[in-house]
Amino acid sequence: MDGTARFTREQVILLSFISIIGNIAYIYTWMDEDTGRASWLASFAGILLIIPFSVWIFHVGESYPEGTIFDILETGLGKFVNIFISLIYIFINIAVAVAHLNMFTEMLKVFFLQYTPPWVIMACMILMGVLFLSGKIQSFARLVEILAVLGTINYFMSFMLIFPSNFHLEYIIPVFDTSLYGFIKGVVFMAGGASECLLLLMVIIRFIPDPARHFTWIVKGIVSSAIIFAAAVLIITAMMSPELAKRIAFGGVNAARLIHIGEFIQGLELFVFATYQFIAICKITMYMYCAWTASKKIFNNKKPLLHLFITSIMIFLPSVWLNSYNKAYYLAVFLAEYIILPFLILILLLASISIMIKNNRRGSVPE
Amino acid sequence: MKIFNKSPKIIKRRKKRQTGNVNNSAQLPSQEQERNIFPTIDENFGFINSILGSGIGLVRGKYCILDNKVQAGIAYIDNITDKKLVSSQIIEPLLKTNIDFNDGLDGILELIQSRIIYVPDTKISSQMKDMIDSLLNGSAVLFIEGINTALVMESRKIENRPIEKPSNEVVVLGSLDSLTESLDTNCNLISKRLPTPDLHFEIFTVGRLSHTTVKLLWIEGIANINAIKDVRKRIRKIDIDVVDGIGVLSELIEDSPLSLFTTYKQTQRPDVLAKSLSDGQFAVLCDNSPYGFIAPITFWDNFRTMDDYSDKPFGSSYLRFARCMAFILSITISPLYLAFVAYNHSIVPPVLAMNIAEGRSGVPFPSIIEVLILSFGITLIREASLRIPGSIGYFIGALAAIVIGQAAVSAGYVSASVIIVVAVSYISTYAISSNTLLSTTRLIDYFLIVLSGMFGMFGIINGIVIIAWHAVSLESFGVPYLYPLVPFDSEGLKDTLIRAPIRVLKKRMGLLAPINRVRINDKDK
Repeated sequence: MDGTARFTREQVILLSFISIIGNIAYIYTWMDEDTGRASWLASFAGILLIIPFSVWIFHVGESYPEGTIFDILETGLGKFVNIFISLIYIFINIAVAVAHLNMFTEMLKVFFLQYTPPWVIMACMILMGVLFLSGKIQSFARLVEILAVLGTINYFMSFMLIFPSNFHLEYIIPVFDTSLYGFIKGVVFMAGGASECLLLLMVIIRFIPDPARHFTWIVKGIVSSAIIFAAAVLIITAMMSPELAKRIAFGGVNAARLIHIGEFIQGLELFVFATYQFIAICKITMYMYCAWTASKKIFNNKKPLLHLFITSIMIFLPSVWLNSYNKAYYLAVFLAEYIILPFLILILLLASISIMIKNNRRGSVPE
Repeated sequence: MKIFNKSPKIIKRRKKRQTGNVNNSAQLPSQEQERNIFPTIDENFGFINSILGSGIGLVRGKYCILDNKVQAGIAYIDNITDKKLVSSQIIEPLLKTNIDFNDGLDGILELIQSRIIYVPDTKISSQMKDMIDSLLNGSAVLFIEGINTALVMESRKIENRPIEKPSNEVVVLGSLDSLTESLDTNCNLISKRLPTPDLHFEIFTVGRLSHTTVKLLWIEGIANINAIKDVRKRIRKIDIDVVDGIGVLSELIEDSPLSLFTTYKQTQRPDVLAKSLSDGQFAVLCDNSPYGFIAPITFWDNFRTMDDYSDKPFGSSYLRFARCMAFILSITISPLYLAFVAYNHSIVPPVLAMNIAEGRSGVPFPSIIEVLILSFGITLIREASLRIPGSIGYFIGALAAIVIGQAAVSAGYVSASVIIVVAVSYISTYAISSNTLLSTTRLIDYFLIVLSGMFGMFGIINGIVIIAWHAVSLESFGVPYLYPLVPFDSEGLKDTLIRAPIRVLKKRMGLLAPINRVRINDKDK
């Protein structure tokens, strides 16, 4: 049903923009111990670090137009290798989704819906993902376009109101109050977290027209994401102090709670929360889409809606079972630090080998 | 326990048998009697009478014409035919003219058509069905004794109401004429504004019973030809008995009839139609309907008025932006109030919170019920004031709004703050320039109120995201509904939320007019 879909430049930029800001919106505090006041710079550098890998995906995708990375793997390395890799990919996507869903649900529970059972919130979020994926992928891409822009404006509008009064320069200067090793550790950690973007790119590459020529689209998306995310971390640090920022969860919402202008403007965390919700809706749908695409590929695209239903259940049940912010936080940290980026590099290496094998086979055929 | 004791096959067979008895044929008895014209006048008159019946007002007359050499019969239907025209332009010339003809009856109808009668729109036919249809459309029919063809002469009595001011799309600086029920008048109003041979009028007849004339209008070389092919195909596909008006037609040819949003625009203003045609859109006009259908449209078309192009750009942009804000306010103010009162108290300043709490003391309903009842109540008041004839409607509206509202607050049934919120929501709804968006706004409002009552701000955001997804999924004849915002087209944005100066609006929107985007030529270069 998505065979003819083609993403526009803006859609690719904004899809990559929002696919980077997933779990790192919650777990960036993990690196604060190492990076100190330079956490915003480490965020910036860490996100930029995934540019080479994304360009790699674009070049690999060029060799198999209208196909995903898994199609490339299958043509060169065979069905069984592809199934094995796909299964790991599906589980990673589910794990990342479970962590994100739990962290978002807990935030909602802490600030706004104390009496609502978490599973209800989780079910709502997953049902929305199912709804969006049951339509055309083009529609979802357009939705992301809107939500990414709205979310960014919404987030920064609230903080702009208090820019001179609540922004403490002494909290962010001097910038480098950490060791080089600590800073590099933070950068690598952020790169691992931001590489969630590559999970999506591996499947949406088929909708990008002439990917090798349009690799600048993804570069623009990643750079803009790095700037925006680093700015958000900088604002939180400047408002709350680095010491407080690293000790608390939900930095953006907590920072927004500090905003009071006169006697009438308060409680703007409600609007900042909307940005977190936009991110959660988009990201959970994206994880679901990635897992669903890989599972469809394993079963040769038979009964896609059944696969979508199963994928959503596979995200929902572990999420309800986990039901903890702390566990979800450590799961997301573990995935960002050790799993996602190494696994994606492995897939890219295998895909490149697959292309070489395919080219060799073609070359050995006598003309 | 066995619930189904009949196998599905048996049920299927029975259903088939039942539906087999129903006459699914769209053919009517009168349409089935397709035959040639009789050679004698009496037989023709008799047949027509048997088809149309005596109650319709069929007038028949026999005359000896052309120096008593030929016997002719004229038939027409009283009330819908212009009798003066028939007598002065057809019967009188026939009786008075003496022409020598010695070729027998061959070519007599052509002779009458070209040299005797004064009616320009005529045709010769040998089919009785043509005669019946023409009579029902107000034409007069001339039979000649001894030949089995007849002459159809256009003589319909046209009773038009005068062109009046557009009552539903009032503008301050725009033109003051509006469409009428006459298709010809409407076409004239448009071609007066666009006197170009590139303006095409394609005629269709829709409706098995109503035989409604429908015209498709577009400008060759500007309109997207794929959209024209698409609408042509959709109009030809329509197989309905009666076309009640442009509303029925619109629903049958639009992209998503089940959507909350309408993917077309209805207007009663000929200047709006002309502007749309020049932008690359097409229009559909329908006989007996004072509204025109415009497509493809985008969501932003709902906020445009002709005043935008008469006023200065800053003023127009300000008002257009205000209309967009009115839409947002109309769908969000009630749910936001509910969320702030019931769930997310932190945003409400303490002084205001105290006032709201005081106002709510003694109100027996939860806030969500209060908001829903009041919203529905205002819908009822609106409907009542619209349906009650004359000025009593305004009186009832004012009475209900002021007296009942005040009494309800005094009696403690509802709080004053809810009345303010719901009233602001409704006033905002009417600030939107499009009539087709009114009920959509109200339905979205209810949807968000329910979600807000269930989940507070979380529910509202989810609702807005779902509506946004629905809107981005829509297309109007191949044009995405939120274009040029999504997919992004910077050129098109100049006339969307704001109206840039006319000099800057050099190009038409890419997806509306892909083959000819130039609106203003730069003559200085």
